[in-house]
Amino acid sequence: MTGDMIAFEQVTCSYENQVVLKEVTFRVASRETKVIIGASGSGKTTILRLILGLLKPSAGRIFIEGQEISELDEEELIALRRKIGMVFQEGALFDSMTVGENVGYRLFEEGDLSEPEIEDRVRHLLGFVGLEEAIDMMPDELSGGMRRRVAIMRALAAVDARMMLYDEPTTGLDPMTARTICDLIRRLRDAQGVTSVMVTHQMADAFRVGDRFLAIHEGEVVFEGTAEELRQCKDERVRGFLV
Amino acid sequence: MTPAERIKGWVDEVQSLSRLAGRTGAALFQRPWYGKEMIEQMDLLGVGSLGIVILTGLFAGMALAMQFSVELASFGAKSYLGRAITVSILRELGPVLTGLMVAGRVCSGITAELGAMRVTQQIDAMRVLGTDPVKRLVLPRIVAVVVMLPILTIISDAMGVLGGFFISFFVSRMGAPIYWSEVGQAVIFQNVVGALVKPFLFGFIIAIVGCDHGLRTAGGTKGIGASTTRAVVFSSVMILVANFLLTKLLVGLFGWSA
Repeated sequence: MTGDMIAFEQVTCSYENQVVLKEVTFRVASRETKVIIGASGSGKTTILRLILGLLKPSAGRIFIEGQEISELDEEELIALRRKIGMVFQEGALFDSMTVGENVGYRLFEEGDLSEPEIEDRVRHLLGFVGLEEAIDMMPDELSGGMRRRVAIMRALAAVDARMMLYDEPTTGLDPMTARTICDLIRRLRDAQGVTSVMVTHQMADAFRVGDRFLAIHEGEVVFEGTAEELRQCKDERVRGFLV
Repeated sequence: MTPAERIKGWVDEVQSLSRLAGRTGAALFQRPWYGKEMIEQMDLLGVGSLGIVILTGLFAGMALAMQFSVELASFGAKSYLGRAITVSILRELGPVLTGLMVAGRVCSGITAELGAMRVTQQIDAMRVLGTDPVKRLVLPRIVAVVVMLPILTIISDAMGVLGGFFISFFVSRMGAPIYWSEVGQAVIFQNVVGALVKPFLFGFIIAIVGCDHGLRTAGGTKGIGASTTRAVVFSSVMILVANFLLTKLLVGLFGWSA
């Protein structure tokens, strides 16, 4: 487990008598970007929810930085989540708050910084993705790509975020905007050493950002390896997906 | 749906409500408290309901006065109109009608808002960003409705009595001093307690049912609609049941002959 940021050991997850994940085992090393691919409903997003403790596994163990999280209560999970940033599908921005309030949400909640300090930090983060002028806009005034970029910055505003989870961050975006998002994910890894897990079924984007890949089929891991190994993979369930 | 499934559904519902009530009770004694959010909710849910509450009280009081005026006249007891209206409104009509009207407006609003946040993953985002949704979303709404519903009920009661006066004065041609003197006779400790205790409980029912259904919403926009309908029906039925039980308790407590 040493050096692994995330480790799943024989994790099974089911809800309402339906098994969503079956004995899933994998690891994510520090500063690695792992891409999880698979068809819709294969259990990809469930893995992200398990990492965050939003769901509890029915069996198996999950480790984050060596700490087993399966049995933690909500208070302990809140402390754990301070290390993890999550970008939801469609962004999940708070629609009653401005872009600035969304990005600065956790800083306002923690209350350690003054309002001008928070605004400075928010402006800096929004400047990083070219959205400084959108600080007073409401989420429904933003395009899909802008919403995803704001969502990434909101997740990053967590002072000590060392891990980022992305749930289909490029789905539904035009190729240019998708490329911008992928470049941003790569910049975060290279410049800030962030460990990432990205769930997607956009293979071009997966190859653009991924160091290692995990393929899920009907809740089971059917492949784990590098981009080259993925391209060479003979398993029909994986090949069908690549085509 | 089979009867067994229906019963299981109701048991699940009560279990979920109890769990949320327990977590909310614990949140009451833990920081952070969202005072600003509570004030905002009091304005939105309480002050925002003022219009319908005034209209409800006024028209209920007027209708009641018309009915009572006819019946009391046949016994030669029309002079007791003020007392009959005040007692009916303070003990029953005011709290129940206000509770039901606020359930329709506020419970549905809470469920729809939290339900929309749930299906767009905003609740999950909040948890991921280190905020407990029970503290940030549920507790302020419960405090707001529990504080505001008794105030709204007092306003509704006052409007009901005033509505009764309009009918007694302009339709039944009764003198104002007789009416108001009888109203004064009815505003006694037992009746006022009844008028104020019920809204606290009804307010809690409205807010907890709204929040619970909102937080358990699933299935997109269709799910929000279904959740909202269920929440309003469930809270209205619970208000009527709780009203009966509370009335039974008050009758026993104050020794009113049933």
